[in-house]
Amino acid sequence: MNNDVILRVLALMLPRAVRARYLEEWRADSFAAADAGLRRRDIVRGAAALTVTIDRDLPANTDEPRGAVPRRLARRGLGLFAAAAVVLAGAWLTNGGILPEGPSTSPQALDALNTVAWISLRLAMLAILVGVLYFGRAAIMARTTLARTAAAAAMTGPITIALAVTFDPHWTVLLAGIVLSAFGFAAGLAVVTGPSPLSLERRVASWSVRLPAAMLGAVVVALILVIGAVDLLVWNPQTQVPGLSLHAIYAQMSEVDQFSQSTALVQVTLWAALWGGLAAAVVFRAARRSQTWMTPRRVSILLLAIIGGAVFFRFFAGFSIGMSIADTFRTTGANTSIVSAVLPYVGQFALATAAVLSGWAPKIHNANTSEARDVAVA
Amino acid sequence: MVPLSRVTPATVDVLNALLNGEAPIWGLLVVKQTSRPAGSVYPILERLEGSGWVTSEWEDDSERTGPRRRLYELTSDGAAAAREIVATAESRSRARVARVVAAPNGIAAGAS
Repeated sequence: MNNDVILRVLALMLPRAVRARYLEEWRADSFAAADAGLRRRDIVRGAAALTVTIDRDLPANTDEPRGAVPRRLARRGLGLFAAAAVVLAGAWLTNGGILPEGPSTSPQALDALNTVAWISLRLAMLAILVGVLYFGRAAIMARTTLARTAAAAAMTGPITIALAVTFDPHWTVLLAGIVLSAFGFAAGLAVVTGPSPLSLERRVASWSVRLPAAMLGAVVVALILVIGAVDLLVWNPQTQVPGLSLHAIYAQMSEVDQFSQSTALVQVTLWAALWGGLAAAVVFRAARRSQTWMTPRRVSILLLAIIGGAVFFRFFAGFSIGMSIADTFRTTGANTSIVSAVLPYVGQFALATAAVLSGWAPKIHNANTSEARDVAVA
Repeated sequence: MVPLSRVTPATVDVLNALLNGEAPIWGLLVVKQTSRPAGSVYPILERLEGSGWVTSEWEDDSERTGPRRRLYELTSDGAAAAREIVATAESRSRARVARVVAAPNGIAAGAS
């Protein structure tokens, strides 16, 4: 391959800020290599060595304080891993996704749920893969030994686990992968949240930006709470016992299982009030003039986490109703309503999105200003 | 200026070339004067520049066409620190040579 082409390719692997400078320098050296008693190949080797060893975290190369870029990359990796963990944990808890098998569920709805389960698993795998790439880049850029070791462990750990699960070698390989991942996450968290003196940016949002975002999010939370509550009290019992009216269902549950309708109603109301109250608190806080830290990203993280939490704890709010229906009518979880099958995905995706958003803190723009010293990075 | 985390023999050679050569000196000339491969010299120059020991600028030669040459120069602090490092390396080298010369004599004295 032509030496100049190789130099161009090597320059592309350098930080953007110094690409043009080094390419021109190498070319000048390459043209005059023979005069200095060198071969052009020697210049290419020098350029290759520089590409590998260059300090990618140098503030002159990144236009950010040292440590800011690898920390941001590691944080994005952690966000993606956390999102994947949420989806995979959801798949594990619901045994691959809830599939309502009652007569009222259409085949199209079942197909759609199967597709969502298939896509969510692949998205989780993709998130892990991209997270590994982020950790890899962080490891290459980081200059401290702890940061490099943490990022390298967080990168190789999941790969080792994936290989162990795929090829089923000796159990120690899986254990090594788990230990590596755990160490990588713990040390990575220490690096990401550690006390190294970075210049941090005060990110603010105006009242007119954050309040609509908070209100829109709160409306979505309220919608999910209403749908979730109605499903627990009305739709799910009717789907589980299709032949009876709602009144008859509850009457029979009271007679056979000593089911207390008022207690169940209180439980569901408390559940809705708790999570609805949290969403309202976010809106009230965003409405206060002083709360400039509530950028749309942060508001979204809070409200998505509330949705995730509400959906997860809905299981406990509806537990007594579900158990009583099962005991009274000998139904199983497979008779569940379509809303009960869909809501877990809503909760998982909300939490996963919150994790990704929390990892996606924007780039620091005011690293050289005096106020960029004492504020949070989140 | 940031202290160097490690000083290799190649680093000493590069610092020597920067101290003894005409300032500012072309990067390729540093390669030639040190007789070290470009694969050693380029990263060292980058490290020295990143640590604030060296500054670089484009050659201002309007008569020459084509890509410009990059010229390197020690900063005043860098030059002072470089002199110390080179002097330390040279004294170590002299001590090592003295030990090597003294060792056969000692063996010979012991044998007789």
